[in-house]
Amino acid sequence: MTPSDREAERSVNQPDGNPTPKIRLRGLVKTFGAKRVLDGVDLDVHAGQSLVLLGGSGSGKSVTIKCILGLITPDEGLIEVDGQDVSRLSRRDRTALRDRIGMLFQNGALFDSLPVWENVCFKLLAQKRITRAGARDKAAEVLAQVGLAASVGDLSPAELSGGMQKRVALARAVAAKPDIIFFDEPTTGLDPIMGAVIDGLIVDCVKRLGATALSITHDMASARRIGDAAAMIHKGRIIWTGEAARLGETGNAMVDQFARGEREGPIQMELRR
Amino acid sequence: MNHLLDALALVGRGLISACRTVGDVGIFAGIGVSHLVRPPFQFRQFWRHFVEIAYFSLPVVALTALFTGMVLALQSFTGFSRFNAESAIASVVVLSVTRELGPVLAALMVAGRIGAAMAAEIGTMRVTDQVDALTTLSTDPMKYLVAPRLLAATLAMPLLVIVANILGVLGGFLIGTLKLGFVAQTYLDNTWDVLEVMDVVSGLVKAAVFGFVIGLMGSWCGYNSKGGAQGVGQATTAAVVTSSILILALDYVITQAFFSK
Repeated sequence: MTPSDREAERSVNQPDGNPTPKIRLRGLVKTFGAKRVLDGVDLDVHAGQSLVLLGGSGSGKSVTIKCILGLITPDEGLIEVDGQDVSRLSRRDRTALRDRIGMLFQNGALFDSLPVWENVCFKLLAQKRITRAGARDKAAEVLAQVGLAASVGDLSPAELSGGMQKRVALARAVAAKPDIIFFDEPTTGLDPIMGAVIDGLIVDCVKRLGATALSITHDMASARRIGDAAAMIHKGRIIWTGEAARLGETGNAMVDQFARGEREGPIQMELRR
Repeated sequence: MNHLLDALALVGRGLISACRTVGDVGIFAGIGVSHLVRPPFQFRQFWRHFVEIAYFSLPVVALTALFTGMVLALQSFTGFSRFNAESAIASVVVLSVTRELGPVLAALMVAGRIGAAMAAEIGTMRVTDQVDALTTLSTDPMKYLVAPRLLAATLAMPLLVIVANILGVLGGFLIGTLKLGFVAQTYLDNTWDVLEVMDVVSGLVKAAVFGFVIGLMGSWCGYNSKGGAQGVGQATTAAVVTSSILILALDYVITQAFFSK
């Protein structure tokens, strides 16, 4: 890493001037069988920052997010949210932490057995922050924020197109006004225009909520649109962090190859080995 | 010698794996049951599954019981007439149905219908991240998915078995009176005279246990399914097969407990 890289990293890692990151990962290790998926991940995401985590398939992006969410327990390493070690939190505090987090899953993960309005307000209903009667109105309000009509609320998820499902999933992720939001491959499976629409909605929602966002994606156009910072994970380690706008011109051969989608380069050579 | 050791190692690994699975299922059941007594309670989910099991399984259970009672009366007549014991048919039908055939056949039918559906639904939710989504939405999947199914299946099965008992006896009554020439009142008297409360109670206890097993195995197989559509298919098959085997095994255990003295 060159001095200019370090300076760039420092500037994107502390945009709020607060040295304590919103999310701090240190030495995160996770092994599945013989495969070491995470091999010492170090990453900071600062409050109000929208960081995009890039990496090839199987590089450990989703596992990183699932570790932060507590869906997977890491073998080693530290996960801090607002300076609190997540592994030391009591069951109640961990639940309270999850209450502040929203998550958009890659395939939407909408509940098939529930209508759209109940999907959107699921968390609010689970936390008893809203009545079922009020949930319909709330769902209509949140659906409007992602460009869907209130009538969509009465449909089943199976009746929606892929783009609509993504928008409903986004509405569900932000309905409870989380201060941390994770986006797992938000534009995968969508056409470029719908992908851009979803990216725009993500940027709007994150700004409106003043939330901290951590997204994982393969889609470079999407990464530049939704991220103000980016990091690349390769073989279970973070190999670069910097401004999302610099993707493709970072000076890091692996990152630039990945960002440009080039066939030849260090990553492919390693795959051939 | 080495072949013998390899064979022993294989058996040992199988036994360890079986013990681990039994332990996993036991812990899973314990966690599921613990959520039944800890708020918040998922009444809406419970009611949804209760209706699905108790109401929508009625046709298949009713038809199975009715035809079983009819066949039982015919077969009993064939056998008993060789010993001039035709008058025992009503007793045999009512005791067989209430003690054994009603609970077991209803449970096997429900295992095929509901156990498979539970495994498929939860399995699909697992492989499409819906189970993880529940966790991120401040909801414990065990509380939301498993506990209501366990309770619904445990409470619904006895109701289905009551219906199965009535229709099984009715099937025997119809064949006895319409085909075999029994006098209706005599047939009913023979039925009531031999029936004891414990016969019905033991059948209902079996039904509740079988219901719990169906809910447990359907949920457990689905919850632990992996690998997309193929994994869900395997989970569905495993749920039905393990439920059916456990139903037959536990049938013996409960029968022994009730009637050994």
